Amino acid sequence: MDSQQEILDRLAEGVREMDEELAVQASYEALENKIDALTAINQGLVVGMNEAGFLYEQEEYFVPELLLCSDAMYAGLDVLSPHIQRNTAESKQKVVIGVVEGDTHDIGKNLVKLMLEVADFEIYDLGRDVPAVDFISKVKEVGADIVCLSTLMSTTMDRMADVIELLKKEGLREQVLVMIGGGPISQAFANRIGADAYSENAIGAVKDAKRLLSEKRVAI
Amino acid sequence: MNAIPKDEMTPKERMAAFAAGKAYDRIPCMPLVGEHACRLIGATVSSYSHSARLMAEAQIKAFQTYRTDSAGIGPGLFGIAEAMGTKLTFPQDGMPYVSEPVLTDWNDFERLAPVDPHKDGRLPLYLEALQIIKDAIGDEVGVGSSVGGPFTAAASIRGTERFLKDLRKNTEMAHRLLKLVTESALRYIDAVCELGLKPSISEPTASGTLISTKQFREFAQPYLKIYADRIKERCGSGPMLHICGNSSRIWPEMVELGATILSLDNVIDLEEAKNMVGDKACLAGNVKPIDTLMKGNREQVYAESKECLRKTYDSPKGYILSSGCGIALDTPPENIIALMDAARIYGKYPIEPDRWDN
Repeated sequence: MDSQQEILDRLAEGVREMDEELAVQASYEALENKIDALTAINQGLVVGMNEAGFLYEQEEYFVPELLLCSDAMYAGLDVLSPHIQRNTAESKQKVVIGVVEGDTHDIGKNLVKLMLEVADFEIYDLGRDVPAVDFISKVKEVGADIVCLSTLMSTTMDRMADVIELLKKEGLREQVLVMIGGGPISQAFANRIGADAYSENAIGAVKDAKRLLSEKRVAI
Repeated sequence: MNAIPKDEMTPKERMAAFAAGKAYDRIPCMPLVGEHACRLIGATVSSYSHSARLMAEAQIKAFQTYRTDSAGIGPGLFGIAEAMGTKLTFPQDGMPYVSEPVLTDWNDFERLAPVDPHKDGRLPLYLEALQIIKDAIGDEVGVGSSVGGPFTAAASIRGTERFLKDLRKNTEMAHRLLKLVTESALRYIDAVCELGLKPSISEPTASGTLISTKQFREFAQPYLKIYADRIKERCGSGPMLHICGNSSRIWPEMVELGATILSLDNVIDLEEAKNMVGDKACLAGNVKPIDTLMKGNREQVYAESKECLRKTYDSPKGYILSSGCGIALDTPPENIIALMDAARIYGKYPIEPDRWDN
């Protein structure tokens, strides 16, 4: 019988090497070997996804590879998730995410969503072409800590400012952090519309989310 | 404020001199006007997109307003995919987008066929509009038609996310699809050339932001070369090629496949481009469409245009002042006029770099 570490390594390998079959097979092995499902996810699949993220930062991987790693990761999660012993007392940080109104390009948004999930955030994905008001109602409904806004098109960038304005109008701006990203977005644009962070890619978004939340905690 | 020198040549005369290496009056200027033109005639994007008459009227008006050094209209990013069966959504007054890619299942591949540009999708509308534009202003300006590149078209037929995964999981089918869209595009290119006009290529999805250089070489370059070869064969010179985002890693490939003008995104440093490939292709770019052209004022447009000129005016194969990407719909026309004026003032020949100092 394989050691726990060998199985965890195979979980990571399946994700990192875009091998969906291996990720699924190793997930079943983990269950058969009584490895805790959460451990298998966090020390197996998530490790693989983080390694993929590292390869992306090194420009070894590009978007096609990340998409396939993410498929392998979700395939493993499908096997493992039903077996998680949830500790309901522990509350996660909540993120509302979506592509702003008028834009349907959602690859970048999906990658950010995945990396935030991997980093143990609770995600509320509103999808694409999302009106500003829908972001606001979801923030209110779930008491979100962060809103992530994405767009690939220069023509729809200003919809991000609309969301921030509406948050202000509703008196929610102080309680929620706003992170933005996408092709035409820059730090200068983030400054101008008053967003809390601009992230260049999905890996950066996770770092920014953690940094902003820890700064906010210090501030409070 | 500087007096704005009047143009001494028509755009057509200027570009002929430019291409022949003869003297001309000022740096050429070709903002990527696109759908913004419909704002000049008060038409919505969706009505414009479905009427050859409105497309022609808008683009003629844009030329008359700005006196750009190129004019025309084309199927752009999605037109070829649409003509092959992909469904687009046309928001009342926003940019169209792909809502239903036609080939979500490879089993349906055999149902796809190369387009007939005189019948399929909205391609006949573009050809009709091009004829009207040519008749109206073709003696003054080169009229062209921008067609989406093979990678962009294939991604719109499969759905971008699916197609990116295909590069690794269904390599053979990806190539078959690329061959098929290339055949479609060649038919459209031929139809444009029959009108005596020259196509250009826009290939945003093959951006270095999405795929690696290796993937560009395998899945985009060979098919782009087929486009470029056909355009060269029919028109006598290679096309302009626009790729969005960071294209620096693939400049040598863009030149190698036969592009004679590289249209560069505003994330690019023109000086770096000049140093790397300026001796092999003319460069065009790259004033920021949003920060400067949409939200800036005349002074900001001048300042950034001067910066572009400073970096690139002496690029060996020439330089064309342009926007770094498509002009946003609601860009104030004054700012596009300011861009043209920047070419007239600061790009007037003989170039005197002192003119850019303040």
